Amino acid sequence: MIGKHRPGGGPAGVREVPNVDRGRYERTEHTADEAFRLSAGDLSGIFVAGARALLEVLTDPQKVEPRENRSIALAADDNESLLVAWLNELIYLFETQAMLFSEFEVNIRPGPNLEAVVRGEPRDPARHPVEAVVKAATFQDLAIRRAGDGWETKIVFDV
Amino acid sequence: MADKNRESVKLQRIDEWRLRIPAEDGMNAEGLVFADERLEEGLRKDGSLHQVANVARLPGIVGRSMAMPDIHQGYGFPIGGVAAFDVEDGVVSPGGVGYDINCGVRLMRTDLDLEDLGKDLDTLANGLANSIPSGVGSKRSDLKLSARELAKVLESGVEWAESRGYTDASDRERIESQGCLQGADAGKVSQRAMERGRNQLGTLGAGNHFVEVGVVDEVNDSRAADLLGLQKGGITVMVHTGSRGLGHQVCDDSLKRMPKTARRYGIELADRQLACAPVDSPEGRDYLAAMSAAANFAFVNRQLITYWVRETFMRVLELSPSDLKMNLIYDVAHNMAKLETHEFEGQKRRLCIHRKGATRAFAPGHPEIPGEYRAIGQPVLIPGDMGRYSHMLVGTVHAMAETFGSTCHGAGRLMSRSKARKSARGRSIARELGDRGILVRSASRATLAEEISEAYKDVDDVVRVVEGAGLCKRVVKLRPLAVIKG
Repeated sequence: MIGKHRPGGGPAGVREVPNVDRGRYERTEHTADEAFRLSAGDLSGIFVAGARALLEVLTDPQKVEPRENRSIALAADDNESLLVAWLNELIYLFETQAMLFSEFEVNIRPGPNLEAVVRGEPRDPARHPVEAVVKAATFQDLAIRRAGDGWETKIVFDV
Repeated sequence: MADKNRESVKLQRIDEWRLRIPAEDGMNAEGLVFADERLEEGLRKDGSLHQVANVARLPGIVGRSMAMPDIHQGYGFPIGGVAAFDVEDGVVSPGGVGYDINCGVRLMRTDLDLEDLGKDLDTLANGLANSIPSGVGSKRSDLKLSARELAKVLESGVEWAESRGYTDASDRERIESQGCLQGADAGKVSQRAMERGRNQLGTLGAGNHFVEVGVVDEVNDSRAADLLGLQKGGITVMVHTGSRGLGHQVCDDSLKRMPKTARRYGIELADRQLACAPVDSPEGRDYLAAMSAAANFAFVNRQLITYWVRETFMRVLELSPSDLKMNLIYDVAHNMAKLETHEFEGQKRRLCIHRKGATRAFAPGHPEIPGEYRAIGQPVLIPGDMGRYSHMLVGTVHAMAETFGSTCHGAGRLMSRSKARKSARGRSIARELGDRGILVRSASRATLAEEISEAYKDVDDVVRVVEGAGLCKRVVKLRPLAVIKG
């Protein structure tokens, strides 16, 4: 299952997958950090939603253009560890390469393993004011579960 | 585990300053929360009391699972948490240190008063904002470190800064652990952590990190104040920051491994975030070696910022070092695990003390305190929020007996960042502070909004409790004049 790919755009050779769940995120209360409730129709959508929530913490998601691709491949012992590893990978790419990502194609396989193509651009301080130093995604309140027809979890970013 | 966290935590008042969490349900020790009735109201607003109880369920705990009055929910351990573990049969837990390893604070004094600053405060604030990298992505172009040089920083701490000319003569001895945790091993720090740290040495970061020019507003103990070089009306500078991305990554790296490690050693975790290893194990020693390296990075970070603060003051105010006399009083960590020897129930014990959002507060006479302060106790700096005051205190004999020489670290958050931003909407926080005589320079409007005073407990309430409980004694109260934030 693949996350959303921008219709009509993207580099040649990349498969377009229209109308796939990008997941939803909603901010929740937390005394010191940034917390979200993530929900999605499928498991990969949870990972997309988490990445979108991270971008929301960092800067205005609307201003990040999907100009460059990166591939990410990760493995972990369980879905929660995989989600934390995925989000921390994005944090690492931001801190060390100043890359911001706004579009995410995510494939979760049994293992669990993650393969993703992410699209974004280098941070431009004029267009991408970044207000928060995100230390890491954490395991606080993290429990990826089926909910109705879909999936949900909370995620807390230590800021 | 989940069931325990849903039940309400039992809380029994012991006296005016203390509450007990009885040892039940697998707890190996009682919980002890320092709070008066005013602060008690807020204790159940988040999961922090459950966290105190969960820490007490870890093996090898010595004494009680404690929480200071600035307590709020953290990662595994509460912020404001203090817990000691026997080095032979106890554990070390990265959640008991936090992501920002050796986030800490230091205070410098000067020979200046308000009149000396005069109309120059504005220019000084601008100068500090320009010379100290703050905010996301900022760095000094004149500080470029090779990987080998960074490794030296991690293993030598402030000794490295001294060899490069970034210190004054007495700085190193006025830093907790002389600015270098022994046993730091750069080889135990991942490549990823080194990459994150390399461009961030000498940067303030964001959030609640700051440089603050202040003035001594009130002297509570004139003898101690004299020994510390503080007088009413004297200008001071505080620096609050930590180990930046390097420390965050060291924590993340260890948290990836620790749950499996805990399982392998048969340690049952009430909370995954309390993932830990026996202190006396290869994994425990590896974490401590990496944590020490990150801690040394943070000590050097604060030292470099101090160097640029001194440089800026001298340049803007046209002063020589001997006119300015910007001396470091003390530098303390408030996110750390330290191996210390303490007396417990009549015996000397070697312990791994976790202080997470808590400060070491050693008693008068302790050999680790610089000679000139030893008679009064270890200086303890407790910053308040940016719109209010901060306190300098000293440690006590009672703290050694009750909390392994520990006390609180700050005001403690009350309000979430999103609520604070909502509350600040339509307001100019910079102007509000300016109306109260506080200049602020911030790279981020959102950060300012998140750091409004209403988002924090009143630090006076927190300090009243730790002083009332006998953990430390007030020396001076500081008022902010100019705050530089990320």
